[in-house]
Parts: sequence; structure tokens; C-alpha cells
Amino acid sequence: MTKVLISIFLLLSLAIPAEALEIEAPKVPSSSAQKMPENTESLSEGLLELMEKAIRAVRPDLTEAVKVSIQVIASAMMVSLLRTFTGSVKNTADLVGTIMVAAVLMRSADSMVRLGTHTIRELNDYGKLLYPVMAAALAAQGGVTASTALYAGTAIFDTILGTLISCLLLPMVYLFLALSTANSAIGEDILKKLCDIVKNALNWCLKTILMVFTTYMSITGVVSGTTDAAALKATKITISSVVPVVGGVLSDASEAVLVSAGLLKNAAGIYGILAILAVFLEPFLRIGIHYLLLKVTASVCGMFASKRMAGMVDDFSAAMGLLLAMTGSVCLLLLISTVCFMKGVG
Amino acid sequence: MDGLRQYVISVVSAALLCGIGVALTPKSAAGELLRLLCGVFLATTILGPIAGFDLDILAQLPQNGYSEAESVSGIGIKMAADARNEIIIAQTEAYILDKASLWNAQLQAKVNVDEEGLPAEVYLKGDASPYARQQLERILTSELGIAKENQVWSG
Repeated sequence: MTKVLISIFLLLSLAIPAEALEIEAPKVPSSSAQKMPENTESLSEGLLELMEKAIRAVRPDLTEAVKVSIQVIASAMMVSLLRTFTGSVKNTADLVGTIMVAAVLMRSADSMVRLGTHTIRELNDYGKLLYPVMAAALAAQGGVTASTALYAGTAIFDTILGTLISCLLLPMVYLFLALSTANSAIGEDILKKLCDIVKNALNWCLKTILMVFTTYMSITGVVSGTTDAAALKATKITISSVVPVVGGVLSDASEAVLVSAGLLKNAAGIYGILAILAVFLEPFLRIGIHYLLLKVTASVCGMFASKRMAGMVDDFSAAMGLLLAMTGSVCLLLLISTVCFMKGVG
Repeated sequence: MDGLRQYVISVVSAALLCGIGVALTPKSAAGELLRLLCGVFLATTILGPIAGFDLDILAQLPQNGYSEAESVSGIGIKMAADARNEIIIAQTEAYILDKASLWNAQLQAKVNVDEEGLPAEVYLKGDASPYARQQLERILTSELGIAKENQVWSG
């Protein structure tokens, strides 16, 4: 009887790490709390619920974006009508039309840039809370080298990308729009090259950072993961050969902690991924809708409006595309990091 | 980073100025001269500050990131060690009490572990016959690796 009781006590003692290891993903920001799925333990179910909620939430934006498109098309039609007159009326119509269309587009573009900025800031803030939890969990699971290397890489790239986007790339979107409007108003494609340079520089910055980051995470994950796996194996062998009874106890305890840390880390990772997507998905879809509708508007304008006006609408849609790329890059960086931390040792 | 932003703003402002200037000037010899001057002005604005870029901040980033990563990993390692030690203490105490019950000793055991998680000292309190005590001392030393001087008996 005593032995049975002691065995039960020993089994119960294995459950200690789950309580002692306080590994829990940080709570999703309050503004996105209602977007979180009810079941945060299943990734697939959570993703479906997130998508459903996000699609429902962007409905008013679709109407708003359609209104903007109609306003732009109507303005372009009016200008085209005035352009049938010759002489100075044609040039004045072009200039006034450009300013009118730019004013309509700038208002919606501004609200989208603000939305993108807010989303990027929220994602960055959440990442700053999530990374330490995931890194500590990975270290607790035995991935000491991997957690240090992955956290260092993530923190560095996150700082670079976050600072670059908020201090440089987002203002560059406004500059791109200003240049495009000025180019369209001047009407001689003088600033077209500079516009293209700004757009290409933005694209290049994002692509390069993500490419270097992904390469770093892949190489680090493989190299440090293997090192940690070998170190863990060596430790297990050493532990087993310590004093007979203590060796067994130490080995069991270490194994229990590793398994518990792994389980808690995965749970935190899944919650983290869902939280990241809860913050990201709705703004991404909203900007995406504006981007697609502006593309359609530019195509429609291309049929009857002047080349420079259609080009300006196209540039505004390109700006939305850049905003999508920036928000997407930050989200992708967070997701890749979380998955790398979740992959663990081996 | 503010410097970089300032740089981009100044380049774009210069380009806008030049663009408007060129657009407003008629295509004549004076216009050509203005184009040339605008080109020189734009080139100076673009290339001038590049030479003076301070790359020290970028160079410090990896070092700062790595030391932060080490401290975060340290928290994880400590968390795991604490959890492991809790299990080891609980299991070792249970083992000692199990052995004590074999010789009808009614004891309370309190085990402390060292940095590696190995049992380092034990405090035993309660009733135990001299034979039971002798047997337990032997087990504590040979099976659990606790040195005799670290086995503290009371009560």
C-alpha cells in the first residue's frame, strides 16, 4: 500500500514542471481581443474562425472603396469631357482634374497609411512580448544555442525592419504619392524616374531584409538545432552514469521538464500565431481591398482618361501595394520567428 | 534613422524644385543652363551626405541583440533548472521516506540540491532506531551521493 502511495506521489511530482514553468504567450492587444478565435489551442480551427471574422469585418470598407473608385472615375470622365475642348482649357482641365482626383485619393490613402502604421506598431509591440517567451521556452526545452541565436537574429531584424518602416519607408510612401501627384500635374514625366526609384527602393529594402532574415533563420535553426540535440544527448548519457539512484531521478526529471517545456512552448506558439494574425488579418484585407479596387479604377480610367491621370491612379494603387508589402513583411517576420522557435531542438 | 529620413526628404524636395523649375523654363539656351545647374544641385544633394553616414549604430546592433538574447535564454535555463530541481527534491524525499518506512522510521525529510540538481544535503527529523538510522545513512551516501557531513539529523 505504501509503495502504491509513493508511486502515485512520484507520478504526481512529474506534473510539477507544468506549474513551475511559467510559459504563456502574452495576451493579444485589447483592440484585437474580440477578433481572437474562441479555440486558441487548434491552429486550423483558429485560422478558419479568424478568416471568417476578418472577412465579415471588412464589408464596410468594400463599400467605402467602391465609393472612392466611383468618385475617381466620375472626375476622370468630367476631365475627359473638358479635354475635348482645345487650347488652354485642355491644360487647365488636366491640372484641375489631377488635383481633384489626387485630393479624393489622398484622403483614402492617408487613412490606409495610418491603418498600416497602427498595425505595424501593434505587431512590433506584440512581437517584443512574444519573442522572449518563446526564446525562454526553447532554452528551457534544451535549445540553449538555438534560442540565443534565433532571439538575437529576430531582435536585430525586427529592430531594423520596425525602425526602417516607421522612420523611413512609411514617410517614403507619402513622398512617392507627392512625387506622383506632382509628376501628373507637371505632365512631362520629369519626376517619373524619381517616382520609380522611390518605389523600387522601398521594394528592394523589404525584399532584402526578408530574404536575409529568412536565410539567417534557416541556417541558424539547422546549425544550432543540431548542436543542441547533440548536447542534450551527451547530457543524458552523463546524467545516467551519475550515482545509481540519483542518475535515474535526474534523468527522469530532466526528461519531464523538457517534455513539459516543449508542450507549453507549442501552446504559446499557436496562441502567438493566432494573436499575430488577429492583429494583422483585418487591416491587411482592408488595405488589400483598396489596392485591388484602385487597380481596377486605374484600368477603367486608362480607357478614357489622360495617360498622366491614369498613371497617377495606378501610382496610388502601387502605394497601397507597398503598404501591403510592409505590413505583410512585419507579419511574416513574426510568423517565421515564431515557427522557428516552435520547431525546437533537433 | 532621423538623419536618413531627413536625407530622403531633402532629395525629394530638391527633385521637386528642379522638376518644377525645368518644367516652367522654356526650351532655350537659358533653359539648358538651368537644366545643367539643376543636375549639379541634385547630384550634390544625393551624393553629399552619403559620405558622412554614421554606420556605428548598425555595427552595434548585433552585439546588443546577442547580449539581450543571452539574458533571455538564461531566464529559460533557470526556469527549467528550477522545475527540474523541484522534481528531484520531491522524488528524493519520497525515496528517503520509502526507505525509512522499511525500518519503521517515522521521519520528515528536507532535501537541498546543488547547482547541477544533485542532492547536496538532507535534513531529517523524527524517530528512527539506531539500526534504521545507520541503514539510512548508508543509503543516503551510497545511493543518493549525499556526504555524511551533509546529513543533518534532529528530533
